[in-house]
Amino acid sequence: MVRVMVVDDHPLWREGVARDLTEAGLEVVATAANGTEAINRVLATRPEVLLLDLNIPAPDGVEVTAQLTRRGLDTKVLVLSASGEQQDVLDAVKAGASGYLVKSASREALLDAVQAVARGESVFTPGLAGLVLGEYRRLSEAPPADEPDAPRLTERETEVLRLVAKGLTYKQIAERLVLSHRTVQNHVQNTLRKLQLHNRVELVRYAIERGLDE
Amino acid sequence: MDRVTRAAQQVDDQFYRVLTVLRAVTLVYAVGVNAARWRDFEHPVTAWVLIGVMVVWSGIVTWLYEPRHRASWVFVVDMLVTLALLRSTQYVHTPEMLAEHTFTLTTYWVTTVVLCWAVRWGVTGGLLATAIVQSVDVTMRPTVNSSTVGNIFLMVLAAMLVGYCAHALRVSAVRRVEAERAAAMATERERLARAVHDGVLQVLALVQRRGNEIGGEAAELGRLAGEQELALRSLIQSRARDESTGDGAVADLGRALDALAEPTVSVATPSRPVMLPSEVVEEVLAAVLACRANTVLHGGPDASTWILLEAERDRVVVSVRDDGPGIPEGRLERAEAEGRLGVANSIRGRLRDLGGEAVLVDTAGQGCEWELVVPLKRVPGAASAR
Repeated sequence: MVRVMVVDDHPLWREGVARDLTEAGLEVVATAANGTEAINRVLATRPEVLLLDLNIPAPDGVEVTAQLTRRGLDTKVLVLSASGEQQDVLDAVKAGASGYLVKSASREALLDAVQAVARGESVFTPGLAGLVLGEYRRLSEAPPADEPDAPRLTERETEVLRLVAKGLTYKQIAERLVLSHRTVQNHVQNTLRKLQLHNRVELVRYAIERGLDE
Repeated sequence: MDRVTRAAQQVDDQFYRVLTVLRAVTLVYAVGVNAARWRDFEHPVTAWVLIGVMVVWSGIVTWLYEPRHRASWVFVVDMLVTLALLRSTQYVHTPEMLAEHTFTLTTYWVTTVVLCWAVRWGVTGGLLATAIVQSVDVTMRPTVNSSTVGNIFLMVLAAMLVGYCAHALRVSAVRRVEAERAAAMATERERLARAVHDGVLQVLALVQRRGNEIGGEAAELGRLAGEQELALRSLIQSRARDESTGDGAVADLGRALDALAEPTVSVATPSRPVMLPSEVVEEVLAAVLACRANTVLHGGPDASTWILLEAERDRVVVSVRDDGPGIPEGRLERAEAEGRLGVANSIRGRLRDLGGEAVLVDTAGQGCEWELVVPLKRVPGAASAR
């Protein structure tokens, strides 16, 4: 049974989602209405999946994700955002979130996403894939002095990510590129992992430059 | 005291600080001039006493001009004391000195009170003070000569200049504070709007989900909620990008495409704006809409469309895909040969006009997929657009 925690400042929504998850046989170990509660309760209950709204009272969703990543927890973060502020979604994913869904996604899509994230997979909407593609392009076009050691996508990864952004399912991508479903999944996940790693290296570099590394 | 009044007062404070320095400098000058000629005076002892009064009053009035005492009566009293000291010249000087228009006992020191009036009451106040001081000066002279006229002229100029500057600086300080306040209020409104919008989006999303689950009429409500949710979301996203648009001749293609999002149309764009000349954006948008129209024509209004925007260094690629039956090989060519210039032709034509191309991607039976490629070099003005 997957252990999930739901973070959202809207009680109606929080309870609705929690009920859906429980009815589907998942265990909702905790809920929280703001960033501070979220971090404390994750530490106390160690859920497998944290269903996180980005727009919550401080610290916001991006910061919560960053803090959990810094602590090296196993909890996977699945961002569930209503407004879909693109930069926030990208920042959350760079900070370590495993996926993103819009709140209007159907109950089935939500349950699938939670299960997938719990299995260690990444959940990409076409919108998120477009953002990640854009971010890699930005990194590749930035002057090397600004972005040293910027990660690059392999040709295959670019190909796969473009197909995700064009709305193909992993199964359809596997068919089109004559790959296994698992390989497609790995490529998608790699694109995120490299971006997150780069983000962490950048943060550490920044901290050392500012003498904050103690 | 509110921030506007305080800003205006800060301007005044600076002026009075400068005038305090001026008062000290002119005082030293007056003492020096009189020390050099005290033996010429008709009443030297009285002259020294009066110079003493001038020194003491300078100290007192400097203290009185501090913000906490600075009231209109201070200006009036300062003027009266200055006039008294000025007029006493008549008693101290010999008639010859008065006729020759040598320095008065107070010399340039009288200018300070005139400029204080100018700061306080603007050009009018400065000119009034000039008139008072000069009439007291001139009426004790037996004649008027060119140096008297010159002195009057210089004092009029100084009074007008200082009066005008003080007024202008006060106005600009007040405007700056008001602009800052307006900006702060706009930011706060923006923050509140975000919270409200987020709440509305949450509820719309919830209605949509629950409606679909319940079915029937509720499903219809859910569908309507879903449409409004998307409309509001693209509005918010477009506003977030608004900040980066400036010139009227360029537009953000990403924002234009985001606005096409519907429950059946998914749009993926980079987070950075993709600035292109407006007419290019319009043409690309028209081509994308033609692709979507084609999808609806063959697959009905419920057919899904996925749009992806990629901005590379030298070109922009917009992919438009649907999961319909696709276009059988050779059909477009056949249609063209038969003289039917359909949707495909309009799409290709638009892109050709932009110096780009519209490519029908081989999807191995996975629907119909267009790639609209716009090279940036051949688009006029695009080099500076990104």
